[in-house]
Amino acid sequence: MTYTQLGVVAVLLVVCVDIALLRTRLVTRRVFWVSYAIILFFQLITNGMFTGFGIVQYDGEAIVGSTSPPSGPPPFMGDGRIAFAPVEDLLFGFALVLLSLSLWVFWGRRGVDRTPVAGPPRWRGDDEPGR
Amino acid sequence: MILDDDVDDLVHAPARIGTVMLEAVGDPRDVDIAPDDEVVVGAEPHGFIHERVVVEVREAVDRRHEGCGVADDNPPRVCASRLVLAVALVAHDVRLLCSLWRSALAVDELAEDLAGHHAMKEAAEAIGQCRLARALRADDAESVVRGSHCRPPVRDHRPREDVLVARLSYVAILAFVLVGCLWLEVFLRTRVFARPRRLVLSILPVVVVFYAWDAYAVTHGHWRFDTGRILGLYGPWSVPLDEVLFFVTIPIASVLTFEAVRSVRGWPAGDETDDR
Repeated sequence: MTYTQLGVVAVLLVVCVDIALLRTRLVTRRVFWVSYAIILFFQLITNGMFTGFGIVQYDGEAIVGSTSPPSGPPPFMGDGRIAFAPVEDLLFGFALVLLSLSLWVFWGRRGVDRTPVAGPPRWRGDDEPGR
Repeated sequence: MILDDDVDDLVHAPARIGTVMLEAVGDPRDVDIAPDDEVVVGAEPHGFIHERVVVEVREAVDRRHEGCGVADDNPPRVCASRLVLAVALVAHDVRLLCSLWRSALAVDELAEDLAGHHAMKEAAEAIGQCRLARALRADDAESVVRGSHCRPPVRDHRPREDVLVARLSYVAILAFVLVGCLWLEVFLRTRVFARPRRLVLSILPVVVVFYAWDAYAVTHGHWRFDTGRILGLYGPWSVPLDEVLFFVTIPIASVLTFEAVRSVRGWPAGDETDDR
C-alpha cells in the first residue's frame, strides 16, 4: 500500500476506534476540533522543519506528490505538498492526534487518573450545580 | 575516504555474462538479474534508493573514465553484483537495498559478496560499525543484513563537533514542540503530568501502532531519514529512536493542548465526573 492509501485507511480506522471501540466520540465534540485546529497549526510548522530541511524524505511512488529532491527543500506548496510536507502527513497526524486524545478520554472515563481535572483550583463547593 | 575509493574499484570489476539494460527496467524487483549479469550504469533510476545512489555510482564511474575517451553512447558496464555492492557502500544501507533487489539477488548472495570484501570489513571497523564488522568477520549473512542499518554518515567531511550537533536536528525539533506546550501545564493548569498513569496508558498504544506503521513505511521505502541528522540509534525494522520519541512527544503535546482548551473554555469531553 502507498502512504496515501495507508493515511486514508488509518484515519477511517481511528475514527471507528473513537466512535465504536472506545466510544469516546471525540469527533462529535467541539473541544476536540478546536484542539485539533491548534495542533494542526503547529504540526504545519514542525513538519515543515522535518521536510524542509530534508531530515525526512519521501518517495514519489508512495505519495501524491513527487520524490523529495536529493538536495534542497521540496516545493513549499503544490505538488501534493503543504508547507514542504506531503499532504499525507495531515492524515498521519490526524490519526495520531485523534488516537492519543481518544485513549486519554477513554482512560479518564474508566476512572484512571480522572482527577485532578484541568482548570483553576477546585474545592468541594465548586462542584455544586449552578456554578 | 575509504568508501569512495572502494566504489571506484568496485565499479571496474570486469563484465562477464549478458547485458541488462537498466534503463528498460522500471523496478529492479521485476527483473531477473543474475549476480554475474552486466548492468549499464547511467540509467534513469526508478527505485527510491537508486535515484540518489546510482547517480553517485555513475559519477564514480565517470570520474574513472574521464580522459579515457568513453563516449556517452557507450556507458560503462559493471557486473551486477559489483554494482549492488557499490550501491550498498554508497548508500550505507544494505538492508533497504536487499529489499529492492530481493528477486534479483538472494540476500545471502549479496551478504556473501559483502563478507568476502575485505575493504568493507575495514570500513565497518573504521566507522565504528561493530555489529556489522563482527557479522562480516563471521561471514554471517543474516547478521550482515541486520547489522547494516546502524551506520553513521561516513561521507561527512565536516568537523566532528558539527557532525554530532547535526545529529541532534530531529530531537531539537521535538524539543521545540515540548517547549511550545509544556508551559500550558503551569500557566493553564492542565494537570496532565499530575495524571501520569493515564498519560502512559494513552501513549503506549500509540507508540505500538505508529511504530508498526513506521516500520512498514521504512521497509517499503515510503520515507527515509537523513542519517546525518538523526541520533543514529535504531530499533527493530530500522525505525530510528528519534521516531519513537516523536510518537511520545506528539501525544503529550496533543493532550496538553486538549486540556488547555478545556481549562480555558470548559467544554465537556465526556470524561467528567458523573455529578458534574
